[in-house]
Amino acid sequence: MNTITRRTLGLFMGAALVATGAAAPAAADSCGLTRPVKAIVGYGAGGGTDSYARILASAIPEFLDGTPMVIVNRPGGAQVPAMKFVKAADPDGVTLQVVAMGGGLMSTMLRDQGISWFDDFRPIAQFGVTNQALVVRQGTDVRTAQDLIDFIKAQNEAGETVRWSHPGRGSVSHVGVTAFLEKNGILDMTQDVPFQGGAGTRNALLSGEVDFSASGAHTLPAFSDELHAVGVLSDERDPIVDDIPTLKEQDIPFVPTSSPIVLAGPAGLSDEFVTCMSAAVEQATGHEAFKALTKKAQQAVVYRDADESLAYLQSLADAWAPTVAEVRASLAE
Amino acid sequence: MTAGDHSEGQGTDALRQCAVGVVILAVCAVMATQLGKIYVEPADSGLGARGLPSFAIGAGFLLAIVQIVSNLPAALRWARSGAVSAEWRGAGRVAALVVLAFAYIEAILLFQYALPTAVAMSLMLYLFGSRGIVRLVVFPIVAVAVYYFVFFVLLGLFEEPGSILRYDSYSFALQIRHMLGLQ
Amino acid sequence: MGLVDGFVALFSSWQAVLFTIIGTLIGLIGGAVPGLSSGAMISLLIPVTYYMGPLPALAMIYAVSKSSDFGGSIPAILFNTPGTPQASATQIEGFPLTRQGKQGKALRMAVVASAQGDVFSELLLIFGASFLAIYAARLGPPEFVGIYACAFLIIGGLLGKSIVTGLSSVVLGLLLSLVGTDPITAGERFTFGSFHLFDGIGLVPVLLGLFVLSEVFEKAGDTKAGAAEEAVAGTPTHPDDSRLTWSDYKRVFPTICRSQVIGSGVGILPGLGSVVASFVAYSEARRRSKTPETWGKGEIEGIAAAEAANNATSGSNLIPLLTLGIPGSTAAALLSGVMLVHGIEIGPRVFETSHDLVYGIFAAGLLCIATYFVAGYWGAAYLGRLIARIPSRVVYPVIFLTCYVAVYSTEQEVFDMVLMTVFGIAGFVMKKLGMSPAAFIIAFILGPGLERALRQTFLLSDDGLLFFLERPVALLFLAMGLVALVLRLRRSRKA
Repeated sequence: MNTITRRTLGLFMGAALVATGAAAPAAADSCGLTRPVKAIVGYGAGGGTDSYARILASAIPEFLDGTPMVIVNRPGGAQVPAMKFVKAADPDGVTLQVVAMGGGLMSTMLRDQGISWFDDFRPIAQFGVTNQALVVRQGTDVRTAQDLIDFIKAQNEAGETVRWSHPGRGSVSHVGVTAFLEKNGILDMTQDVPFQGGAGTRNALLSGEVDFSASGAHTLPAFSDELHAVGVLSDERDPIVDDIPTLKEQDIPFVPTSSPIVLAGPAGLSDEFVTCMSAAVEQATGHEAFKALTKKAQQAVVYRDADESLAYLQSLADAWAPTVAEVRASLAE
Repeated sequence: MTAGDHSEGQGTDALRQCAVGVVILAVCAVMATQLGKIYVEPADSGLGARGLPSFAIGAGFLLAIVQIVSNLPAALRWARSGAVSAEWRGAGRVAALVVLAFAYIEAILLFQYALPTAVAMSLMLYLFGSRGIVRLVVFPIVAVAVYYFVFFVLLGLFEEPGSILRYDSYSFALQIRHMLGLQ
Repeated sequence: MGLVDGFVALFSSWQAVLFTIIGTLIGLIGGAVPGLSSGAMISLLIPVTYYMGPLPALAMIYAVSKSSDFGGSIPAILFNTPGTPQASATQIEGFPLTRQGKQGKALRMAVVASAQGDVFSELLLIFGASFLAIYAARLGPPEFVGIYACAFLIIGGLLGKSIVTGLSSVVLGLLLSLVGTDPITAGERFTFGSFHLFDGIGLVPVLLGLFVLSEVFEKAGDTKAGAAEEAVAGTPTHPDDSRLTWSDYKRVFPTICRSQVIGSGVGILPGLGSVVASFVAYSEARRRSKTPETWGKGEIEGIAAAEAANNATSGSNLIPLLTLGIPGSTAAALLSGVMLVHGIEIGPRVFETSHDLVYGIFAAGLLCIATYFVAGYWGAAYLGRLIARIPSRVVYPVIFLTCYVAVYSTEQEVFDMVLMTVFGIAGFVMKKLGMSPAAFIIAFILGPGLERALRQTFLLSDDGLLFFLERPVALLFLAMGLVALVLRLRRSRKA
């Protein structure tokens, strides 16, 4: 639920870095910026993507000749309102977006939102990643992904629809799980229910409203007594929770749905700016404070420069395209 | 209290209730035109995305009609009696303030924050009955300085550049922050 | 014993103590500036906390959120302009007292009720968190539909001039809360193509417009001779006007107790928020009062009810956050962000895994309450005397322009200034027509939550509305709302 401030302010961020005597200022230029960068985040303050953004914002000014990065939260609507805002902005580098690309790509591919990501945006750099895990409550007989499939089929034969929760249609967990269900021929035996954010999604499972769910893998250790992860929806194990097997290891058909955390801007950003900014992000990810903060917050750091990010995102989009088309068709039926 | 007072109170009240009905009716009518444009997901049960909007608009129409129908006779009677004009005393000053508010916003877009705020403060003070150089000139300047310090220096807001008058207050604020040891 | 460990943890770090006190003072001052919400202040402080230890960081953030709840009531009482949304219930009784020269008494009532409600809530958090969290977690979407509907009916029925205008205000608030994107499909609606409205109408511009600007408009339209010459506040005529006497306190004590229970209850339920708590407690106290004729004209009992409930949400808000990871308010969401960055795994075992830290935060909460009590109780009387001398012709222009810069500070969008002005005019008209801005705002805040819960309910079951029959708790709340409405109807028939 949107509490007191639905939109929370983001203000001047770089304040404390120098106060801690972090490091000697590196040789840096401002990438032609004369005003602070507004980095839009499509989620509320305090969430995973927001934390990534704020940690980046606290480390990057040093590599931009002191130009601060301001975080502005525009939560809701599977990041689409935030994307529309950035798309409409001038491509002068002042308005950028920290976007969780899994949900970002999917929500634009699933529905005609007036956004074609690769035409409207230009990635600057990837600096993080989150993976999704399929979870059930502890204390049931479901231990593996195959168990979950069998459970859904058994319930269906008994005339029951199994319900599952996700943080919004078009979110990475919604499409990831839908693809998993579709590939195993059990999509019609289930009903999805969107909840508010990762916490609401998880609580629907904890309280027994739904029977399974998809959750950010890194959030699971705190709930290990209550929840059981049957598998991670990616080709490789998650670096933070490496004891959960992937669905690939379990030989279950699925579509990998990692969500890279990317700094992007509107199409039309100059090549010089993108190269310069991308380098600043790389330097920031190598910064001691950045490493320490992401480590404490259990956030995986993966850096890709502008060209690598673009290629990687395109490969993800290509991999998702067939499933997204199917999900799209199933929603339109 | 005399009987006359009583009926007058009821008359105002009836007119007010009617006005509430008209306001609600207008808002509902405007929103109803948008109802058909709401995207409905076929997988959703019932009315889906149009459910609550339809219900709220329906309830609004119903409430509005109840209010108008039940109060219209009394309101008309009272309106004909010509006592309405008393309600409009002071409307001119309110309208002046509304105009001032919108002009102030427009002026910020043209001249950035400082100048319009000082002028608006001075006009507001005049409107509320202050007179004299100290109140109308010195006080606004001091007030703008305080706003600048709190919001633009301490909280680090930055201004959109004005389309007629442009200046960079951000770097200046940054220097003050440095001086204060904030950064 | 957890709390003892907490105090040891807190007082063994001078930084933790210092930052708790700094946080308290920041919250007090920030809360008193209209438009500067605790969410805004905390967002501002988040980057600073990255470079602090976990306990000083969390203690400071927690202190800001707590003391700003009280800070907001200061301008509500003195200028009829709430510093924070939740103080809008306080102004109903607070400002009339100021007009009578009893601002000192009103402020002291507010600080005493705030502190008592806060302590109650804090103790509930310390001793009952894990127990209560189990019950809170069991409430699903159907129960929330019941709770939201109940809040709508109680507040809509009680706050309007008549039931129909009250309900009209609720419907209007509900309608405007629908602007933006759909909570389930993320499709846009009622935005009229304006991209500023994609994420809905912002709460801060609406609040500042409805409650603060409308007040200035009203004053501008006030043509009573000499109105502008007067000071905002009356002059105290009796020593008791600036004091809170023991008999005053004894009289309102039962109300405070009831209100702190209401506040704590609302605080445990994610998403309802302290605005709802303060209005429900205020409405309930007014309904129960044996002297309803004194209400709306400066009844300290009303201040006590609103403030006790409002501050009682701040501790219990942490119950679902700490145990289930569900933030119940903006402040709690931001606190969880700080915890995330400091590597604290929020979840059912947080009381074991981060034992000293969690109890250290609780101890900081108690220290914060003590700090704002001292500052508020003795500072408030002084402030009250000072304010009594400022003429309203200076106060209102300053309030007016402060709103504009404050609303800009939340989003740095000039559009919000336009929105705020529009809602200022709307609030002025609403008051003239006898509609209730308070009922409007509650519906506006709760609308999105109601819609989400309703839609989820339909998705969770194939039975449609019949699903409610399987959920007795949901039915209970619905029935409570209907009974409140019927009682009000009957009373207005009699009158």
